[in-house]
Amino acid sequence: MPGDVPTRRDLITGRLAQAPSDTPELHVSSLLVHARPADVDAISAALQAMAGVEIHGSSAGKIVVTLETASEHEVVQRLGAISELPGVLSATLVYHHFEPDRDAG
Amino acid sequence: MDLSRRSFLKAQAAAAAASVAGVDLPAQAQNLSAGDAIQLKWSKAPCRFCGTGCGVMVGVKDGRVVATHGDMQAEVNRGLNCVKGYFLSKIMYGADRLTTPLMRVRDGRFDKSADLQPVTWDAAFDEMARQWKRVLKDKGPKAVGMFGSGQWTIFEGYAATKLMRAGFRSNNLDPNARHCMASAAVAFIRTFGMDEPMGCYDDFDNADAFVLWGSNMAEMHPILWTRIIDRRLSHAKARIATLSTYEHRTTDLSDDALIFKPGTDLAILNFIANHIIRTGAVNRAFVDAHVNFRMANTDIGYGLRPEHVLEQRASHAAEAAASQPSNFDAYARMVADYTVEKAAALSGVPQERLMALARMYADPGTRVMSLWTMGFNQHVRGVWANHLVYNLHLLTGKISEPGNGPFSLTGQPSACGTAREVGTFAHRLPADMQVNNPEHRHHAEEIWKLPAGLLNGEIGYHAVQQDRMLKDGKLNAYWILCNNNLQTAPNTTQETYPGYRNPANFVVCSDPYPTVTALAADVVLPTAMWVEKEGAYGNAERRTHMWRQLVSAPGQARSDLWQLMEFSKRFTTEEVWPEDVLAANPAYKGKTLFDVLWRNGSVDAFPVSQTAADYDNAESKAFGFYVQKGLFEEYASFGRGHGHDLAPFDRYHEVRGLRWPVVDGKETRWRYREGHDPYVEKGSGWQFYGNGDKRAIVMAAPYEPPAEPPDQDFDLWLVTGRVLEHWHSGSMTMRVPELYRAFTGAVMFMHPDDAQKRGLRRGQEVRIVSRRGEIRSRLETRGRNKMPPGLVFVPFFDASQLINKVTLDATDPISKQTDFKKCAVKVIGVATAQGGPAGNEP
Amino acid sequence: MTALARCLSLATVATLLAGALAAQEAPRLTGPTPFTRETPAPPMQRQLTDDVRRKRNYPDQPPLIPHAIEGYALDLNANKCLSCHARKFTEQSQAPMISVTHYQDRDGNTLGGVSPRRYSCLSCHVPQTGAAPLVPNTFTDMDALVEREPRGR
Repeated sequence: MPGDVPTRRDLITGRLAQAPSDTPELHVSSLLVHARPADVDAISAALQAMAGVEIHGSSAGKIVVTLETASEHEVVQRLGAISELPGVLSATLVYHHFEPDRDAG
Repeated sequence: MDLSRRSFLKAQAAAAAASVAGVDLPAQAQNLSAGDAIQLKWSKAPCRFCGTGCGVMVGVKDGRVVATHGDMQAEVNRGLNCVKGYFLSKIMYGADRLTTPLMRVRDGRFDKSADLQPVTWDAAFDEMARQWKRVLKDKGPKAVGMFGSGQWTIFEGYAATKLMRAGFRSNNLDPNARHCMASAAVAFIRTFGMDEPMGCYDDFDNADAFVLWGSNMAEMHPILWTRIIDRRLSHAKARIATLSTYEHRTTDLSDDALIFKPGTDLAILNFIANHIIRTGAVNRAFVDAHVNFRMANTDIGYGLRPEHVLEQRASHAAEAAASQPSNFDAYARMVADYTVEKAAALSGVPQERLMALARMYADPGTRVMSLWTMGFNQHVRGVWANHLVYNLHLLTGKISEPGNGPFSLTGQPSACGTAREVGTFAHRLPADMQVNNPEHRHHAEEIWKLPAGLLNGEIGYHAVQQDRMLKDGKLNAYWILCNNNLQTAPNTTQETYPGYRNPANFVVCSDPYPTVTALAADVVLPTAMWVEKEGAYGNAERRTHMWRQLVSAPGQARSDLWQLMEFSKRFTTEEVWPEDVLAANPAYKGKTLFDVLWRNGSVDAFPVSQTAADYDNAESKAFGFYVQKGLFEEYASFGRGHGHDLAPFDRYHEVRGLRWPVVDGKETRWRYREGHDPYVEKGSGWQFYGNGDKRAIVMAAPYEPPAEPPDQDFDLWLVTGRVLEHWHSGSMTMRVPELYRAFTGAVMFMHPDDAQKRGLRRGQEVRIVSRRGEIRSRLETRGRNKMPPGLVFVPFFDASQLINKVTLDATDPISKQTDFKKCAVKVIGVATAQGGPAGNEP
Repeated sequence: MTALARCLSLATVATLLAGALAAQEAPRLTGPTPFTRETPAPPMQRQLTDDVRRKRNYPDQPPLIPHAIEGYALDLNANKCLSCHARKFTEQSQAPMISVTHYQDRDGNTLGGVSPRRYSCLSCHVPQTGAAPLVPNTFTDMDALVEREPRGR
């Protein structure tokens, strides 16, 4: 994964010298949302209205959700917003991945 | 980040969360597509580029070619391709593919001075037919012509030869292969009585010494080069000697690189023959039993226009091809003149290195393979150069056995299969027969089921002559298919372009892309290419191989085969055949050329139901019979039983090609050799059965100088050629972004001292000027080609730098093949010429 | 003419016009207009040496070379490419190892070292310049056909 460990190629190409904060990032994360079964439909509708959120499936009040954001901060923000939706029992971050987004910006 | 990576990451993230929760996600969320979704349909095809004939596997999905890879089952390349072959998937997908016919139209009518506009196939063919009929009526068959290709499929070449020779009764049919290997083809027939190599690629695995005569195989035949390198690195005795006029990637990997002055290869070849004779290395038993000697006419001119001073001055320009019977002693006396001192002085190669090369040929224990392509063939004495290398192999008996033999390479995928075997040259018929031989014409008329005496016995215009006759207004209806002649012919500003735009002429060009040639034509026909049609090619080792139609052509593009056959519907026999022939054969009256050429009981013998069920076949669907099979079987009847035997059509779709003659289902690897070739009688050892007495010819020919050596005014040799990444005229490879970026446009390679002498820097824009024209290019003093002082190299693939505006239209007077390797130029910096300061390019 | 044919015709005209306009600058495909016009030679392009891997068009495509190779020896004595990419050197170099196919002979048998038939690296692997393609290439990546539409909201 780029950025993990400096390699000989990073040295050769001078990639290490580049300021990492200049590079736009893509953060992909997944959440497990526990909801009251009766509220699942309403919660799903609310989730779908949020930017970068995608629902991948649900079963017995458990909703699998992915987030696509530009920063870690946004992940935390979105997690908080989801937790506060009426009927949500808990929202847990399961997976988080980020890498430079060379197409952005 | 592209979409597919985003979806991949999200699917992975979702799967992680789902597994924690024990939620079953629908299949869409999984990382991997599987099952039918990832199935590609893989089929075999030959590569579209050079004459090596590599096998590729082509992966198709949803009607698109999405992948290719080297075919592990193909004996030629066993899974390897060069970079061009690996990018075949993209050659059909340039965004500017032609998808509809175009014609120069003003106010609804054809007008040569108008711009090209889209028209229907009917409108294009109607106008073409009108023009062809007008020209045939006014001037006869000599004024119509066709310029074809060694990239045509065998079926296309065969259909073209029938349409031109039998339909229009004109032999003005020539392939662009004339520019490429006519010298080799002519020399084969003059030496062995039959065209094409006696050996095959298996020789690579058996030779001890590889001698490359003017061939840069590392770039031009990369996959055959891998076989040579494999042998060189695996077999302790193996050596590579490369002769060239400059250093390149092949010389980098050779044991010895002999850099000689242009044209002096003839002197080196004669020196080696002299060395073989003087050191007693002649294989007398072989020579006595299998060789005749002849002495070539000398001072034969340079194939220029007859009024050119060099032709006027030459004593045998009119009898260039003639030779006289001779004998060993006379031959030995002739070559005795070529001492090592003389050869070294002429060529500039040190004596000891010439001696080392000669010893390779002379040593009876060293198996020698000689290889050549354009260095020999594009040579004003190209036929002689071919002869002189055969002489070495014949004197030593090193021929037609594993690892021993002369091997002529080819530049186009079916130069052998289509141009030569089918006979699309102005003087040829199928199976090495000649149009000026009445018996051969009669035989063709019988197979084609045509009236006796129909075929025209007059040899047609060869490639360079076609351009001259167009310019002179003597050739007026002209169809160019499957080539880009305005970019690749010599001396184009003076001799090619004027003919295309001559108001007396009507010029048609069929091509998949808007090439330089297409944009100069009056009608442009959009063409299906490569696996958009069922096809067959013949490679340099006599291997015939076939492929199916794997995808459909875009828009209204149609194959050349469909075009040639469909066009024939617009002519009746009364319109194009002589009255007396029809009077004597009334059954042919009232028929179209389509009826008499293709609906003749043999071409239409196989029903559409015999085409492969799981592949499309546009031509067979259009005409209602299995077109390719019918054409092939009729064509094959020319050669079966005559040393050109081909297997039954269907077999070629099952195998990775077969090397002819294919007798009793078995291919032939070494022709003329007992035990390998079924045509050679027991106890004879060798039989060169193409000649009546079954002997090959040693042809005595001297060194003669090139047509236009450098002088005070034009002080540099110009050599043109190709690069690994761009083939043909670049019309396919330049549209593949990766190939374009690998070699982004032509440059002029020059020795750094030559650049410095002229005050030029690398990257600077320069003018390359000859007596005929000039172009601008960029100076390269580094990179893959290293020039000796006095010589520059410019590739011809880049239409922004049309180097053939500069080249000379001198040909070998015997083969009529252009010498693209030797003319005189001067080089001037662009800024210098304008009197200003030098630019600031990198 | 059918409606479809007319559409295609218009597309062709548009393409030709675009070609004619582009030809003023880079007539590398179609040549000068008219043919006899003298045109300047476009400047030479620099090689890309950013060391960033490019996606392959399909799995069997040989990877492109993303670094400078000028002056690399590739002769009977030395092969500079193998000095980083051969299996035994990849730990020091952190360069990608040449693929397993390169350790196989013509018949697919795996060898104890790099196959001599794979010695001419530059026959298949080529560096790139930064030149913009002369025309777009409409080749379709198999993933676009294989993968279902990304699921939207």
